[in-house]
Amino acid sequence: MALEAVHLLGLALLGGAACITALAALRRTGLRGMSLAALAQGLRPLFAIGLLLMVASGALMVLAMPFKYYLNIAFRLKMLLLVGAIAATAWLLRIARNTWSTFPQRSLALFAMLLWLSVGFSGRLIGFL
Amino acid sequence: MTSLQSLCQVLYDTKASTALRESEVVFPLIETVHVLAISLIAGTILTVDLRVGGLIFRDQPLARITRTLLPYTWYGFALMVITGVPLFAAEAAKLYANPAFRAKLLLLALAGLNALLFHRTVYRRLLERHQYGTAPFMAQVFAAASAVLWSGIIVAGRLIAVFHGH
Repeated sequence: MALEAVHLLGLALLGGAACITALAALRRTGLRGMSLAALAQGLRPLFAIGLLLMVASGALMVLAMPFKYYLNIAFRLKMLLLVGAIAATAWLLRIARNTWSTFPQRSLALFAMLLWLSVGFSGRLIGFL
Repeated sequence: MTSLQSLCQVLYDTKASTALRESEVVFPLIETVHVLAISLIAGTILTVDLRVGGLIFRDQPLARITRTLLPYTWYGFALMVITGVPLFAAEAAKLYANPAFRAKLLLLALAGLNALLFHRTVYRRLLERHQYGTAPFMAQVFAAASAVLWSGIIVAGRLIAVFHGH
């Protein structure tokens, strides 16, 4: 229970930082003079602490009841999607420049965001199955 | 029954609420969006709190951060209300008696009050004289209160399921 609460707090930080960065990248206005890189850089502590909280609470939840999760199809799906989302994000960070006008970059960004959204959905699905 | 409680019961008994409550896909879907939208609303609010507290974006003027993020907070709030209202309607009678739900609403009201007070008082002064550097003590109090309240809202929200049907 407490672990799930921590997991949600981590989501607020990590997901929040991700949403802010994604929305800023898509809108391309409203940054009021701040570069996208500066925004992402400033959000780093949220990314880091959010990630730490989610991984720590997630790992502890699985370690507490490994078979419950191993047999849960939503959990397996989530892990698969997580790998995909991390890979897509890593690739995106590799190729991203400050300007977001190129079609491949924006497509990859959208794809990565959809993957993260799927991670979120499958994660919630764990509780339903 | 109090009139509020009977109102909740009436809402709970409507065909729409019952259908939603018993749905296999729609209710879980709405609930999932509600939970994931936490990132948008709480994430943006916590970011501003951290900036006021001087922990992140120290080199950026305060107004730039708040004005960039405020629209996103409102998007998140809209999502929360759009998903939250049907979620409440579907379970209204049970939620009336749920201590976690009551706590969540109370904390939401306090968080709203905190934000209102902050914007009406300290925020104006911050914009005039403290765009950079450490914010004055009262501003930090408001920011800390906001962070604590919103964390509490998230935890209370999670606890609703624990007290459900008791």
